[in-house]
Amino acid sequence: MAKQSIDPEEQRLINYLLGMTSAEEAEPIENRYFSDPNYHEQLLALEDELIHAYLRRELPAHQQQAFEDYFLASERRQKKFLATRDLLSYVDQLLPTTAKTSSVGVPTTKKTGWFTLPSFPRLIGATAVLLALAVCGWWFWSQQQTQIQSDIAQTAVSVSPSPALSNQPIQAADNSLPAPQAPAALADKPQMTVSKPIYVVAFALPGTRDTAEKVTVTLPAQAETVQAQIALSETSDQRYELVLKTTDGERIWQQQNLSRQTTRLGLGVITSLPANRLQTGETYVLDVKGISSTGESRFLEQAFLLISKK
Amino acid sequence: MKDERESRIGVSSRRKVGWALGPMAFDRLLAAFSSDREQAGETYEQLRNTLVTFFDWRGCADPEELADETFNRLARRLEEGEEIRNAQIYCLGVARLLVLEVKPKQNRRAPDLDALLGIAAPVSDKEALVERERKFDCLERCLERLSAENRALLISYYQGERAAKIDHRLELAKSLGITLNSLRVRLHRLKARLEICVRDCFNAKP
Repeated sequence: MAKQSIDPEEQRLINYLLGMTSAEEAEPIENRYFSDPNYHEQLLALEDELIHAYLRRELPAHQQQAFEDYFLASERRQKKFLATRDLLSYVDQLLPTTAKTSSVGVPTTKKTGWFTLPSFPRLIGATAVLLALAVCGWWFWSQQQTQIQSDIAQTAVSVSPSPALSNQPIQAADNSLPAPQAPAALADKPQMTVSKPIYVVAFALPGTRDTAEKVTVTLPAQAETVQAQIALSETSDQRYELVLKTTDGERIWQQQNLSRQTTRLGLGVITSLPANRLQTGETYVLDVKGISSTGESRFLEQAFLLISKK
Repeated sequence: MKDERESRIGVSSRRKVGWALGPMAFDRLLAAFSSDREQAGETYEQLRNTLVTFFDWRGCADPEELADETFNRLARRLEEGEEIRNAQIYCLGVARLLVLEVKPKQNRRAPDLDALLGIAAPVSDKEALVERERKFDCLERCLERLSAENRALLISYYQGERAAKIDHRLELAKSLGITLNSLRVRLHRLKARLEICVRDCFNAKP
């Protein structure tokens, strides 16, 4: 629901859904959807769009406020919200932020849509979608490789003193997710599979201070890089910086300017980790910093990751 | 189907106004929608859904009950012999009056944003993590049940952000030979099916 897509009629409907219209303004909208089921369905579809826009942080401030105070007060819409949140989280894990561009497209067929064509052209259309997703998957993988190389290079030149350790204990969290996580649609097309699989791991950093458990991170033994979905205990910042070190303080990897996202285990960050640089049975230290809108960095938490390769 | 409707309306009416919607009154209600009983049943269901969303969009606390109360009032008017030309429009009028009646008295709870955003459940809470994992398993299973076309469409539709997302959706709609609005509606239906599947899967015993 980004600003540039909204025409005045749609804006009127959005205002209605957000409880921002007077009874007089609402009347023609209600008259119409009571007599036209298609119009009613369009409004329901617009609800989905609003939820999506909110979750992607695309709503202007005043709409965001109305969304939280009014829209989400409804139990029905809360259910829709949760379902959409889960779905987006799932889609995000298929293709992380870097790959979420318009490059995933459906090839244009001729004048008629492929859903209205006979079965063979439909099949071609569907295959084209799968092809597009496969290309995107490959693109994402190659981007990850480039990013890892860049991270390694950065590590060599930008080592700064580690933040003071505060002996923060970390509690173990579940990180067992199926891998690889390529779109299921690709599984039926062996000739189009991504050359290297994309592995996904998810774990949570509880940030509690009363226990001293490590977070066990299980990685596929053959993975060079994995997509890590890391749920953070504190998520008030918009941007985050992660630094991964050995217990001796040697910096292995770092990633800056990560945006807050919905992971499989809650709000956090999604990034790629150089799995091939981590040894099984070893413990690593993960520092998390939050970056404010003014660019100020503050230490948030520290986790001890025990790597297990299988 | 009829029994279900009768019981749904009857329970509400007995509780709310002490007036029960009996079989005769229910038949009269359906007849007000159409002389074809099947058609009338469909209209009834469609109108009930519309009423529920109407009350919801107007910020009422209990949309389902209010939708049933709207039908009760219509049924009573019919029982009293009032001639109603357009039952849908009449229901909208009743519904608007009901909003005025209930809204000043209602105490709608503020949403628990932390819980909705997944912040409230402590990440160390194993039970919450297991539950979330189960939900994702259900989602994966339900997505697999969709046709490859629909699955790809759904995944593709929800990718991208801001301008890229808009361009992508326009492109998607164009390639399907439909308008952006029609694409949205198609995705809405697909998502609604998926939500039902996930809910059923999640509520089934593991």
